[in-house]
Amino acid sequence: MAAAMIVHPADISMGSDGSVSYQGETSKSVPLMADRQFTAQGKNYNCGNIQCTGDGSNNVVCTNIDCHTTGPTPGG
Amino acid sequence: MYSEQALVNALSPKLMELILLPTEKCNFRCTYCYEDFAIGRMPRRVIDAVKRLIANRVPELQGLTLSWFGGEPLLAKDICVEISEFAKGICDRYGVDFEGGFTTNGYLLETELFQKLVALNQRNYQITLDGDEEWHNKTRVQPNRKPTFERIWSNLTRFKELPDNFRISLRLHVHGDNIESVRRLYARIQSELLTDSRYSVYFHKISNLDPRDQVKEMVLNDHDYANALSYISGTSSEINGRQKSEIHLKDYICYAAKPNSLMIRANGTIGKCTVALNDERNSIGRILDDGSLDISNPKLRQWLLGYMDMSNSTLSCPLSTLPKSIAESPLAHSELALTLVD
Repeated sequence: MAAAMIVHPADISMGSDGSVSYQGETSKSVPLMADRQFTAQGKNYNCGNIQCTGDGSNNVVCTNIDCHTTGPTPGG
Repeated sequence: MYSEQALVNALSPKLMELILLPTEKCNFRCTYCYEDFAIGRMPRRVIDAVKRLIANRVPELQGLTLSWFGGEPLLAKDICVEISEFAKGICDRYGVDFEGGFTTNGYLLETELFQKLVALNQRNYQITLDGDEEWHNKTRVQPNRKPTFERIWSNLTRFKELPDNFRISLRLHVHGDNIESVRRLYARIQSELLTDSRYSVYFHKISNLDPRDQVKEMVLNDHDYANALSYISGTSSEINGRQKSEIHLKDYICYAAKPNSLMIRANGTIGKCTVALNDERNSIGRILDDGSLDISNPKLRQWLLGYMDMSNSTLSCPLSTLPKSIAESPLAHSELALTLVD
């Protein structure tokens, strides 16, 4: 099962019933690098545990998130 | 850095907060207020639509929070009670956590009503004072300019005798002219209320939220504000382990930056921010008679931009960096989605 945390606003939408969806399949993926770091939007991110579950569709629920930026990417 | 719990609470689709404005009229005319009171009481059509929305969503939720705002919400106390009773009933049936609270001036919060609301899990109250009696009655006045302090204080002290489980946060407004007055008030609160852990104090700086710029002379800069708070409270740290002002908040994500937090105005318009009531960017949709929502997702997403870079300033106040238009939004030029794949 794909496990993903999606925090890009372009992926967030609200349905007419008021429920919020996170549309993972429309996103580009940024694979986690060693030591649970990744780079996006010109910044380095450090992540702790991330545990998310999909529901078989595009929706994901994250239960354990801990990411913070460590500053700008060198040269970025 | 944001804690795991702060982010989960902000993003979880299992939590929902409705900020409800049962009326946008007010029984006060605070001299610095940014609201125009143009919209009156929530009509039956919108009340029933809100109840249908709650009924539709609760089966999928883990938690529902109602936050009552206005105008003065207790001018429409019957609406508050009706929707709270309905929401509690359906949340109890589905085993969903349910709580709520009021941003109220406290003037109409009589003991019987207070206990009724607390019994409906509406346990959190933010009540504002502008200084001791003399100063408060200069700025937080009724439309006929009559004073308000004594009645609010009487209500506050009476609740102390109750056995109920509630939390009252006293928001003390600070500006350049009332520092000594707030200091006197704080000393009184400390001796008469803060001995009860159900009461707490939160300082807030008066700022310009009105384009008419009517309080400019009174606004403190951040340095003077921090010094004023230390002088007033006698400490530069937290009070009773609680963050004491907006400049001391840690990990704060504004409700307007949470996708699951919606403000429903008395006329059924949906927004994100309770400050920018007349800002077109804050009108993201409306609730329909059947309880469904007509939402502009492109407008909603502008309020969520803080998640792109975990910007503290944007997440704590998305209005402060909100793009002037969707065309000027970073989303209009962004191809990279910030997705983690494990």
